[in-house]
Amino acid sequence: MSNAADRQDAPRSESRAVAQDGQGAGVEFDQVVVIFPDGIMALKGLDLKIRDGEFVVLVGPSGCGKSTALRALAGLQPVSAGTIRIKDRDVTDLDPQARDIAMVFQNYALYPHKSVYENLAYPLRVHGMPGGDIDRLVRQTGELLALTPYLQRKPRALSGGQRQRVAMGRALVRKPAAFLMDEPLSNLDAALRVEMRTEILALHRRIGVSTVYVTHDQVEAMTMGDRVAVMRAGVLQQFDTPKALYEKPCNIFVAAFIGSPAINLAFAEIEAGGAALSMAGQRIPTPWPLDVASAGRKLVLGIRPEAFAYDQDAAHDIALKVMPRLVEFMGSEVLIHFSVNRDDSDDQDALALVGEEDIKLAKVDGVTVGKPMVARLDTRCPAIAGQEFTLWVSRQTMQLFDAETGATLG
Amino acid sequence: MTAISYTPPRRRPRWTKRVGLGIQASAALLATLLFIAPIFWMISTALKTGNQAFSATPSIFFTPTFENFAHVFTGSAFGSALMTSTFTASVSTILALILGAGIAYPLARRPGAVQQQVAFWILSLRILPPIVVIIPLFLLLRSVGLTGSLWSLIILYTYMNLPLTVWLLRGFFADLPVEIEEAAYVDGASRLRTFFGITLPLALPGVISTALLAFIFAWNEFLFANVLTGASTRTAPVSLTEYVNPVSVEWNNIMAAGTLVVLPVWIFALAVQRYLVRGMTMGAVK
Repeated sequence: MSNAADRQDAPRSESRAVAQDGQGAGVEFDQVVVIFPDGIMALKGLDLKIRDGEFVVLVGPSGCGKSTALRALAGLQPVSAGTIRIKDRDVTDLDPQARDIAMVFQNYALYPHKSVYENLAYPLRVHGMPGGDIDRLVRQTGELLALTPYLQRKPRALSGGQRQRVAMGRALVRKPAAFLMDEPLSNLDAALRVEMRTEILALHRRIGVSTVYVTHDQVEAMTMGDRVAVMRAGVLQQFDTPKALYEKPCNIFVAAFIGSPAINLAFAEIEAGGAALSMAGQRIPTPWPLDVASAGRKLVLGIRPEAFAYDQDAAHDIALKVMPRLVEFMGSEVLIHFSVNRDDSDDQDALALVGEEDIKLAKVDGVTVGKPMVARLDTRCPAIAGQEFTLWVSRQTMQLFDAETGATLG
Repeated sequence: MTAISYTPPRRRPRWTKRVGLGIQASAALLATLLFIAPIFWMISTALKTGNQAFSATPSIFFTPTFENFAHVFTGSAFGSALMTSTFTASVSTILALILGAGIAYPLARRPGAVQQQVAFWILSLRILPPIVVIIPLFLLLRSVGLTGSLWSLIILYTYMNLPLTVWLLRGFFADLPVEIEEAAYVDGASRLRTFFGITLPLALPGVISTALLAFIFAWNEFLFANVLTGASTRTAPVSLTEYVNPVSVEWNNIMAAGTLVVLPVWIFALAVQRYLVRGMTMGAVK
């Protein structure tokens, strides 16, 4: 373990400092367009600047282009237009071999006819490293990933978790300019996934190489990424820290995609005078001045399940009368499913607002504007299903979206 | 006496099961005998004298003699024909494999409408009956001075085997997950190195089964060999006809030579049996 640590010449803290100066670029996508042979545009001008040493997660629903972006970065997917740079070197037209990258594949893609030792040694052999150095590095990496007892085994004699480690090891064994990971944990069971999550982060901290990690799991994205890029239909929606994505999503899609349980979305109208919104007949003052002239205009109000309280306090000062339908006791918290009285016509508006693409998505994630709401509260909350109850909302955490475009307002 | 009556579930009596098994076993045995009988006949006749071989009442028990084998090797050109066959079949198999792999790999890795057409066109070459082209081929080869040369057979066998090797290898390559090759590219291996170091070893069972089939075809081929070879370049199957002459049909020698023709293929198949079974089941097991 200590040997492995010795060969790290750029600890994470140092690379972080560089990154904050905005100097060293790790990976850069500049207006990258990918068009598949069948005419489908998988990436529509992706711009992404990943700082050196940063751990960036690409996340989005399936078909959003995140894997295509990763494959384009790896050189496995030809780029139709734009430029890709790794450490300020233009690699757009280079073969994967010449890009100095390492990749972990979803199905691991181990060499089945080679032992674990040879799998780990292969990248080094290919690069013409002398035998003694290969042996030293392979053994160090094996030790780092607790693979030493299995070095002579073939991949088929390993468990899923062990195979995953070998795939990681094959990427880690040499020090590439960037790590690429394509849903590396999706073939593991839930418990192992959480374990490997922390392990991958610990490895990244130790090695400090820019990492691009693709996943469709927003929890994985939020917990792992220094910054997270949310993508949809080949377009980057927002690229920011997990905290910023959660608190200041750029549009309704990102707001709905990030967070579990998902953000509550409901239609609201600007009241005459502009000081407040009315949602299902209830008055909701907002922290932002609203355009007075647009009174009557429809907006979408987003309230995180965590933004509710069952008692009024300094932060939670907006009352909302609700009808709890279901009170779920989770042990550490309760989830209250409730509806705010509303017209049926609101549902129709919801469909009109988000567009075809989002509706499919909303169905998958169970998110659409006007759905019953969820509040996540302390277990002391006295709410009872079927009895009207007053919840208190924190106005600071409320989010407003344009009902036409879905863009964030305020 | 109790009122409770127990009806055991209807079950097939054990004896019908046994009869069923017996029928199955007999059928298998019969089929095996059917296939083995000619081989047994060939080998036993090869071990008989000329008179015994011609006897109207074939004998099962007799004193075996190896003089037919000695005669076949020393008294005729069969030994050299065997060498010729080995050479042409091996060289054409290797050529068909190398060329076939080179064609099959891109067809497998870039599937598309055009590739499908090309693959079918290649297969259609195999559909043509050889007898149709034998005269034009003979004229063609004569005009370039290749008749009577081993190279004419090697070229033709390679050509005849290519559709087979392309189609089989294409399937074996297509079965390999492309990510393994992509992993090798990302690890820094060139395309050539990946093909020889990763793809080919993984497809080896398939390659070996393909090789065996191509070899058997070239080894057994009679028509082209009969028309296109001269006295010094006869292959083993053609050479067998030597023992049929206006005076007599030397069954004992034909059978001895025939045994020797079967032997190499049999040894080859036994040697690669392990790969053969894997090659035949490769797609299904994954």
